[in-house]
Amino acid sequence: MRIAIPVREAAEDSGLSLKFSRSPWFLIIDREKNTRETIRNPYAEEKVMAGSRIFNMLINEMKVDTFMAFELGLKVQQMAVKNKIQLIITDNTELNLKDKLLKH
Amino acid sequence: MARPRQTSIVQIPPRVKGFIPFAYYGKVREPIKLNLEEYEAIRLLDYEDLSQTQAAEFMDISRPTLTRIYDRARKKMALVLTEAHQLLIEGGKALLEGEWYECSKCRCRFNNPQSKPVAACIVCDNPDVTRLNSCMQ
Repeated sequence: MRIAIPVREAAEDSGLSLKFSRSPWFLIIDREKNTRETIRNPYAEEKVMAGSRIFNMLINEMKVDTFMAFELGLKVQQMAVKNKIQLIITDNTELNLKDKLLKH
Repeated sequence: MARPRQTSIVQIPPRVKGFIPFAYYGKVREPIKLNLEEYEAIRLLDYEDLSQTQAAEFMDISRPTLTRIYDRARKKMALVLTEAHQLLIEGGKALLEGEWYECSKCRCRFNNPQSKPVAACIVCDNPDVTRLNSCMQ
C-alpha cells in the first residue's frame, strides 16, 4: 500500500494540508517497504485542472493506491472512486497517524 | 397521497453527526434533523459551488427534486441559526457512494473500493469499525 498524504511543509513533523490538490507537498508512505518521502506538488499554484494533474502524477508516477486527506475535491474524489483508489478521511490535522501507518 | 421520495447518492459521509449552539443559556430546544440528502445538497451547492443541474447529477436525482431538498435544508438551517436548536445530521433517503467505515479508535473514515471483507481499521488495525452505510440510512 502506497499512501499519498497532503502536507503543509516538507518537514518530518508537518501537519496535514486541508486542501488536497492545492497542497504544496505530499508525503508518500510505502507500508510494505516501511519508507516515507516528501515530494513537491508542481500543480499547487495552477489555476485550472490542478486536481486531475496531481491525481495523474500520484497514480501513474508515484504508484500511489491510497489517499489520506482531510477533504477531497469533487473531481479528485470522482476519479479516485472510478480508479478504485482507497480513500481515508481523517480529522487529525496534526497527523500523528503517519507513525501508525509506518509501524503497521 | 404524498410523493414518494427518490433515493439520493451522498459522496462522502459527513464529518460530524451534528452541532450544538455555543453560548446559549436558554432551555435546550428539540434538535433539528438534517437528512443526509439535505446535508449533501448544501455541501454540493454552497460549499462546492456546483449548479443545481450538476449537483442533481452527482446525487442521481432530478433537478426539481434537488431544489425541494435544498429548500427544506435551508429552512432547517434558518431554524437552527435563529432559534438556537441543536442540529443532528442523520436519516433520510440517501445512499453513500460505495462502502464506508469508521474506526472507533482513530476516528478515520475509509472506503472499501475492492469490496473485500473489512475486519479492522486500515490505519490503526483496531477491529472495532462501524459500517457507515447501514447506520446512516
